[in-house]
Amino acid sequence: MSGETSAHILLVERLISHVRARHCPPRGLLVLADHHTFGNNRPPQIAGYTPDLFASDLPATFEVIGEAKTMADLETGRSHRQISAFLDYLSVRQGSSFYLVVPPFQRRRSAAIVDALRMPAHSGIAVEVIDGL
Amino acid sequence: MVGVQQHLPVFDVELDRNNPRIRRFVEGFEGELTDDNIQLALDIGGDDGDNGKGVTSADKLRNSILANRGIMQPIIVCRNEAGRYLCIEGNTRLFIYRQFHENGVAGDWSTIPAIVHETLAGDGIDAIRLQAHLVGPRAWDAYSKAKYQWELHYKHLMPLDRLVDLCGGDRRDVQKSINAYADMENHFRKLHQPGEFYNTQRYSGFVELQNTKVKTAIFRAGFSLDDFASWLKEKKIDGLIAIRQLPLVLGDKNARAIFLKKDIKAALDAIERPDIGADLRAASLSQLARAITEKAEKIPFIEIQRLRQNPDDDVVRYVLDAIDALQNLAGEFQQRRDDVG
Repeated sequence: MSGETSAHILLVERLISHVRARHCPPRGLLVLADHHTFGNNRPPQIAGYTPDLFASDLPATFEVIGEAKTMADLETGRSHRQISAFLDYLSVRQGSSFYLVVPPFQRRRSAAIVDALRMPAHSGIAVEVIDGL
Repeated sequence: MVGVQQHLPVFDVELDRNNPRIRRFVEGFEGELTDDNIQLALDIGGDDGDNGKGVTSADKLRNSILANRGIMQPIIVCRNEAGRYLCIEGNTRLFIYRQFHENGVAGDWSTIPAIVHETLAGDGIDAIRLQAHLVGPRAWDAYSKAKYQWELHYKHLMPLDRLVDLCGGDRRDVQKSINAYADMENHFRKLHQPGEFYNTQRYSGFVELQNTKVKTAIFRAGFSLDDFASWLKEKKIDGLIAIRQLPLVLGDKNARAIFLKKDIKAALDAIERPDIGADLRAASLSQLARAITEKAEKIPFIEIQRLRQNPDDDVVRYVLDAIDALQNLAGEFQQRRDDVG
């Protein structure tokens, strides 16, 4: 989802700092994000959808996808298909993680939505839902 | 033709109004051609657009100068009889120094290293331009660039951010190069006996492998990158277009079996595709491109809504395939040496 509302931009910023704090490979983390400070260094398209964040070490031994969602957006069918596509992508890669960042106090509800989208094949993915701006 | 190296104040050197890089932009310009106009032309003159693929070559140069805190190669200037300096080679670098100086970018950008020639006679100016841009320094091949980036980052522990900055700021470029090189070394090299020719030109296949669709299709079909390397070595896949077709082939049981037994060409022949008929097949690319544009512009909103709800619909798949093919084709049209300097 492209940065549009200021709430979404703040969520993307939260996502970037969270992923940077969680993943600190010795030679540095490659981060691509849909945020104006990243210029053209935007995440790749995955199954027709562009995530808000993509990160990995180099050469890649793990991959991270992150998505920032407002609640109204998270409950749409498009968002469900998008998250499923990201989980499918990560499920065939070693050491992969998926982060969803949502507005304050929405973590439980959002985690339930993501849980409902998870299939047995996604069991190897570390999934974390975080809330806050 | 011997010049003397000096540091010249950036505003004492004139940008070259006859610089061949920007001549196509300024030829039709009406009114007084100011430095601002020239700078604007220089900013776009070295690029054919970034096609959404990464930073532009002028941006890369800007990032690289910033990361290096200066330029490695002096610009070349000529002092005319009136004592004015004219920039013969390095107008973009001069313009970037001026921008940094005006914008208060940290560092000293008030002077620029330059090789100064006293009045150049005859075709001296043209000789410098031709040697710099039509002959130019020999660029490394893609495999050698990737190998060097991998060594700096992986063996010599150069931090990723520093490496990206020095390479011009395009993270995706660096990501693709290092991952492609590592995949090739880890999976392709071991298929070779000692002394056997190791074809580094196959590196382009491993660059294509970095396409998310291709790698995902290989893993999802239960194969590994070792298998991919074997297919390349055995020439079951030959050419970059064939690699882009792998998701289609591996996703189809019958085609996959044929591919494993023979090669990708035989597999593609076996895939059922919608009959496009003799008329469409005979149409030229320009006719088809115009027809697609007209169709896309006239598609009813209700159909767009339907496709949004059905991302697996054949229409979406064929449109995305066409976008891929057209983007690659456009890339071929626009391919040129990255020669900003």
